[in-house]
Amino acid sequence: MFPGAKIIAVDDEPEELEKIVSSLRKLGLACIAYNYPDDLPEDFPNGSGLRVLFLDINLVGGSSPDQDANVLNAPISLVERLVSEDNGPYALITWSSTSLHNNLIERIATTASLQQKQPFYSKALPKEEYAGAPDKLKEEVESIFSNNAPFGALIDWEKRICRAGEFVLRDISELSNEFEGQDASEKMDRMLSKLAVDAFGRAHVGAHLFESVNEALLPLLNDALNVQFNLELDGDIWTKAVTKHGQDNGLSDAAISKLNTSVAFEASNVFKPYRRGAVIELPEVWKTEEEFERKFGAKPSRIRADILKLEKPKDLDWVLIQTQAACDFSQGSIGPLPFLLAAIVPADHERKTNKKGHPLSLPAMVWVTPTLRSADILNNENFHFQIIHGIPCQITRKALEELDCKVIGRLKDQIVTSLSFEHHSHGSRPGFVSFR
Amino acid sequence: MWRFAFLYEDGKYEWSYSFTPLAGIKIEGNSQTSEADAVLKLPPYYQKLFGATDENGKTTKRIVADATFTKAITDNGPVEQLGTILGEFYGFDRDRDVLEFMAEAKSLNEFLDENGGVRVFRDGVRVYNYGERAAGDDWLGLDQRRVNVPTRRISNNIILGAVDLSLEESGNTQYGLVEKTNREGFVENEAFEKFKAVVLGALIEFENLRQKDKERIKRALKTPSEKAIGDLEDPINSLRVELEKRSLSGELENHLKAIERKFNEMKEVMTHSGNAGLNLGILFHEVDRGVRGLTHDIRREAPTQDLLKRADHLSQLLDGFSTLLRKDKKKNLRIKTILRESKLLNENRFHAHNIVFSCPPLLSEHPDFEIHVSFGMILGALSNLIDNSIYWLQVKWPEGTDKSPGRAIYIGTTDYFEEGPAIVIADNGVGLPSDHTSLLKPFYTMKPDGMGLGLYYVNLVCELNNARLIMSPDHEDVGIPSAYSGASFAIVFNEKD
Repeated sequence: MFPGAKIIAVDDEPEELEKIVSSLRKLGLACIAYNYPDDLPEDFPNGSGLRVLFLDINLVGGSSPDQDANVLNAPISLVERLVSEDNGPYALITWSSTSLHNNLIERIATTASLQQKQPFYSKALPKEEYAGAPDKLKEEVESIFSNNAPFGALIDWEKRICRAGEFVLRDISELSNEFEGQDASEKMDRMLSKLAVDAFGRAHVGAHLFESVNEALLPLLNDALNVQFNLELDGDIWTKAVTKHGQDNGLSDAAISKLNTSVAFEASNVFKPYRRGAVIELPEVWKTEEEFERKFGAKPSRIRADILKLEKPKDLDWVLIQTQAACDFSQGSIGPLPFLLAAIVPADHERKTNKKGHPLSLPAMVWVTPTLRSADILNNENFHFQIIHGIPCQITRKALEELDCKVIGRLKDQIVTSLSFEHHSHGSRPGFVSFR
Repeated sequence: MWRFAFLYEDGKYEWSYSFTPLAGIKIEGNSQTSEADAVLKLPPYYQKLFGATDENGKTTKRIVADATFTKAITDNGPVEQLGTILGEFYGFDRDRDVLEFMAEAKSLNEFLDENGGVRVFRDGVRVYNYGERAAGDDWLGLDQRRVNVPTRRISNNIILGAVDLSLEESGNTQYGLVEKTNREGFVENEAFEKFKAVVLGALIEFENLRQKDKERIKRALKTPSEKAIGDLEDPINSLRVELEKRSLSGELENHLKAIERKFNEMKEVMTHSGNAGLNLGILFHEVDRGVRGLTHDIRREAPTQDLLKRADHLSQLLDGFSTLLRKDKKKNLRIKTILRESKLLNENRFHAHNIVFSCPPLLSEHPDFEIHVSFGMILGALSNLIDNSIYWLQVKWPEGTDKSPGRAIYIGTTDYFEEGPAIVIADNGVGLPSDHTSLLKPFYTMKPDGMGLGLYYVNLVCELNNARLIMSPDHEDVGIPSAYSGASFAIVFNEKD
């Protein structure tokens, strides 16, 4: 129900565990503590957002000094269970005075199932020295992030975002008192309902409860974030964290594509085809030359050559991208959904050239995404979308179902917003993050 | 007193072992030979050194020296690096109590001090070392590996050994064993590492066999293998004095603080609780000896790295047994809960070693039952049994052969025993030796460079949890499927607890 704990401690000795927890408590740091194996829940709560994991290495007895693999089973298994794939950066602190810590880190690094769960930092602390010494432990916890300033800075950023959320909750709690109701819960219900209706329109709220409330709260959150991001910086963590801005980043093309993909595109087939930003394969029945021409006004080869100016490849994978405006749900009529025709263009494409051999320029109606990369598209080769906002089409939700449209991913919000502006104005548009 | 001879050729491994007690020591001699399908087990360092890495970066250890071990992979096909290796070791016992039975003990000691070690011959001609023993001659590292477990490891001054190679078979100038021109041994190439791996593997086999007879000598001579706890003077005090005299690194100091805490805990529990009947004395004695050894090493100003290694070993030894010394944490638990956690703990290793794990109770195909036990201890016991299985499965089904998919471990439950329900653990590895009475004794091991504490721990856990460990139960009686023809154990929980 609540966000996961930021600190988790696991130990097989309850007394030792209590020492750690009480030390952290004195510092005002909340910590979930598990006495292994007795207090272990059948299923762990979602461990997302964990930032520091304290683990005793010797959790299961009976291992001899020659049995590293055996003794490391428990910590490895707990990292696997406590840290979720989506956790993000965390530090791993082990209670150990032996060489087992290094062996554990080596094994975590080589365990295939832990590839997404590598700690950004790890250290062995001798229990004798730290368990009963809260001030020393505090220094150590703080040093995890001050010595790894980029991560410390990100934690600062995460903290500001959490605070912004807290402020929104505070504000709407106060505002809900203006609504009628027998108790606080009913008042808040009325307030959220009002926000939902105003955001999406009464006819749509029932089918989109969360989205509609969210649509109303987002501007409040955005404002709160602005306040948080403009607060004075605590200490010099950001100065220490971002120091290479004057240097060449030395990134490979593959790495740049990967970075661009992370901010621009998410390959997945779980999105609904009618959602904003959805990228769907061209419906099967539209792929014939005749049907393609009927829908988009020209045969695929003509669009490839005349609009996209591509010499190679001759055959392209065509997709449709949903570009509905974010506020359209709140309008009175449901209406058909707008899509733009786009092609998946591989990095090794060849552009048509003029008589001097120079590549032809793309017309203004074609908008090109940054270079992307995805295991599910073009065998993990670099590619980009060339989106033709001069060739829109409209499909109703019912037709999307009947055409059995297959979703291959979604363009992320900043890209869709930028694309929408391009589509509507052919003019200036807000920028987006593009790694080069 | 001991003789061990071996032959290693193209993965085939044969050995013979004999023990002839000194006149006056009233025990019978012992002789054994290898079984038909014996394999040479590689020491841990070489398991890693000669392990393989697949295209996904997954590394697997090489557990046995099979037929491909001594072949170099070249563009022109495999090339033999070592050929046939014949070895013969004579082992001696220099314990004071034993030497009393020897007329020429002083001469023997002098002779061994000067001539002990393992020599290498090629076609019958000694090629290493050439003269008397000298510093730096310890080409197998025998003295170094003895530091942590001095009682069971053979050092250069208690062995006379000869290893013979064929010059023709081992003399490939590019891939084979190449002698240094200064006559100081062999060029340290791959062939030399493989040669050391084979000889050490055989020597460890010898050590493990010899250990059993050494224990018999001790019993016959009534050498106290377990000192009474009260008799032990506190070695920690001496250690602390040495520490205070010298400025030692923070890392070592932390080790020593941990050792001191755990040692005192152990002593406290051993002397004041109801654990007096527990057969932990020998372990305590080992720790006591370790602390003394460490004190001695600090006193003689041994290199810090050596001290750290020794302290690390001692600390881990104490860690491993600390669960046994805690206050009673028994509670009522479903066996399914324990087996589920045990499976989760070992899942990564099952996956890494291509082991099929079958556990019918987790699928509700076998009865679940409640027991009153310490969760941590039973988990530790199961982990040890599984760890043993994983090792012996790799011996039976070596990596890189099409045999490897055959590895399987089974854990089931049974109500066959009158005293109560039981967990049954089995595998399809090499199985237990027919005489397995020694396996539960501490420091008895059949693994190369093992500590010999795994089954000892399992047995202690059973005793502390009112359970009984049965080795090799009748497979049909306890419902072990016929495919699991290797080692098997049952842990029977007494319902009257």
